[in-house]
Amino acid sequence: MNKGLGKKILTVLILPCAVYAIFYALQPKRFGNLQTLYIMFQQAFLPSISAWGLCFVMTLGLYDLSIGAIIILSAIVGTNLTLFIGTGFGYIWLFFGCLATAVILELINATGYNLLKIPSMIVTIGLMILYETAANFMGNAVLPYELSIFGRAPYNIIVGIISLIIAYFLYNRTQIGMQIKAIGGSEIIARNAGVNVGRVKMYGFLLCGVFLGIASFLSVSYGGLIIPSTRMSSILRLFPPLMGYFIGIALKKVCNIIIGVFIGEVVIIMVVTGMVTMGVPTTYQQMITGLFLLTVVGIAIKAKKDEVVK
Amino acid sequence: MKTKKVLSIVLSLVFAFVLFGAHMLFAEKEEERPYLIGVSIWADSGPLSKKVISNLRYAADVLGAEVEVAVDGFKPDNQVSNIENLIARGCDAVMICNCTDAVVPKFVKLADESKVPLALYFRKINDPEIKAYAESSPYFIGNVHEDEVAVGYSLGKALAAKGCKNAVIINYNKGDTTAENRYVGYKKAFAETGINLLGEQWDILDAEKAANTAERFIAAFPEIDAIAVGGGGGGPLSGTIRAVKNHNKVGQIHITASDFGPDIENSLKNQEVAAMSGGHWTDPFFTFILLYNYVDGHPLSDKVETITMQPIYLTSVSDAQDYTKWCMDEPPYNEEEIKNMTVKHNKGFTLSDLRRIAAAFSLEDVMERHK
Repeated sequence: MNKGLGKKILTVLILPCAVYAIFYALQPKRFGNLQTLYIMFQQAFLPSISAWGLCFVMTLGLYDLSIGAIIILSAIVGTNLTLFIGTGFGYIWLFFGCLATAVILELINATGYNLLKIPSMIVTIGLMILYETAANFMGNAVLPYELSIFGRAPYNIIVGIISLIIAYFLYNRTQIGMQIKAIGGSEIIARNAGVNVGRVKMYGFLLCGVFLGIASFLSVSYGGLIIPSTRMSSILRLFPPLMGYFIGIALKKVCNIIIGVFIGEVVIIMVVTGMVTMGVPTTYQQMITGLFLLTVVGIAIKAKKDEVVK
Repeated sequence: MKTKKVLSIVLSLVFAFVLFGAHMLFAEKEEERPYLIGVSIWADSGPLSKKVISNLRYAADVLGAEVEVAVDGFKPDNQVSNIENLIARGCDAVMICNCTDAVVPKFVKLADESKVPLALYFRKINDPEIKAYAESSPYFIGNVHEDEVAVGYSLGKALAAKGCKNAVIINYNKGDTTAENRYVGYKKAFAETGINLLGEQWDILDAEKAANTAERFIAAFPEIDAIAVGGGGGGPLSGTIRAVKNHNKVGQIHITASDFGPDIENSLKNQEVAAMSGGHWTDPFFTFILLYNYVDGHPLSDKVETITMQPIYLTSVSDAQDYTKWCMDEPPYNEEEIKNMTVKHNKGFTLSDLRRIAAAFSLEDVMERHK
């Protein structure tokens, strides 16, 4: 048992260690220092939290393309609420403002999906435009530096670890987590087994909202300024979590998806940081990141297929 | 049957009346309607874009004109569709901050086809072929831009004056003329002053990405003592400042930026920023004046014109206070000054006058005129 676990841990660590080794060999002074590792570790939490939210929706076989718009709008509402009420309990207002807004917006997503009975991708694209418009009406949100303690270490790491534990627990140790996975496996079988599919999908969106709320809280604390997006550009915020999610799926056989997502984000950030330290031009960075993602996911899927054939 | 015939005739008459009557009514109103200038802009929510729009609306109000704003997200396809839509909407003239030179011929073609004057703001055309093509159009009026190479150069020199030796550049869209020109200016200043350019990162448009990138640079290059933020409307500057503060490097890492952030005064007061250029939101105003005079039947020139201006440079808290007082809290040109920039209200106004006003724009200029 322990031997199996040890083997799994080693297998999981192969990917980040290999990436680290490559960049370390190329840039030992720049890439290998402890501070770089610490920063990469910190930076991995923010996209991971959004990706953990995505896990609840995407496992259900649904898509949520509005997550970027939700993060932006929630951060703007949370910040404005904090500045309006006063900075006395600023962190609390900011946190709950972001959280409540994100959950409400995901409730709207879920309701829209259940009522309209059209693919979640279409519903969330439509709602993304509405959320972007709402954010534009509200304007920029500037969070005073005094209120952005959660944008820096160790506080962002604490929030990240707590989110990881909550995500792990909800996804693996609760009835709703099991039902989400059951529907993801086969909606018909789950329905026949007595699972209320509509209700579970609603909870899936709401749980996603919880994590997006936390992500928006950290995002505005980190950058200090949130500018509303227009013309569907908020969708760009979807890709970093989505890439982590894909690597999480690829690593699913050897580790839990929640852990896999975090490892995926660490690896992606490692690749980007490695290229930045090497001075790789931005255009090539995007190309290499895309190729890297395709390679990792491609190898993982091929390994899975080979196993099935055996 | 007879009733149906009568009903048909009555309906036909009603339709005919509605069609022709409405046309006559609207045609009459059309003559009276104010000039409508279409503005395509990258966003309407950032600090810079908001100021551009509010300043244009103010000028339009003063002149009894109207401004129609369309957001393009700085995407070529959106920009083309915005120009099409603004023309279809009935704009008398359109202005745009093009995301790249390559998209300009398409705008010019649309302007030619619809016979609607077009002008650029914040941009010069670098590509000589595209420039020649645009200048051959009877409907391309011209452009207003800052000397962006000089902007980058001045800010690079400001970093050298602070004693910086190792710098990185965080810039916005690769391929954007302004971003590229500022980059050229920085590199020129760095080469002259012996500053090493350790790294550069492009396509940074929001605070979070800028903070991420700045942190990566800080970790990878412990010797870094300068970060040059190429622009991006204030968001990247804000993120970069946060990253430097979070790593307790204020005073050790000097930041310069184009496009003012949200808290200029405190940024300078706390020495988070060494120097900033901005306030160039008046640039689209001059494009607007060019177009207004054109549609009003008093073109300032019969050729394609380029107007160059300088941004405002802020290096001290008192600069920032003056800027807020004289440029932000009140418009840099008052009603009388704006009216005087139109031939309609000032018969003797010429292109040379407009060039002189644009070239003179600075903090001192605004203070001198309004004190």
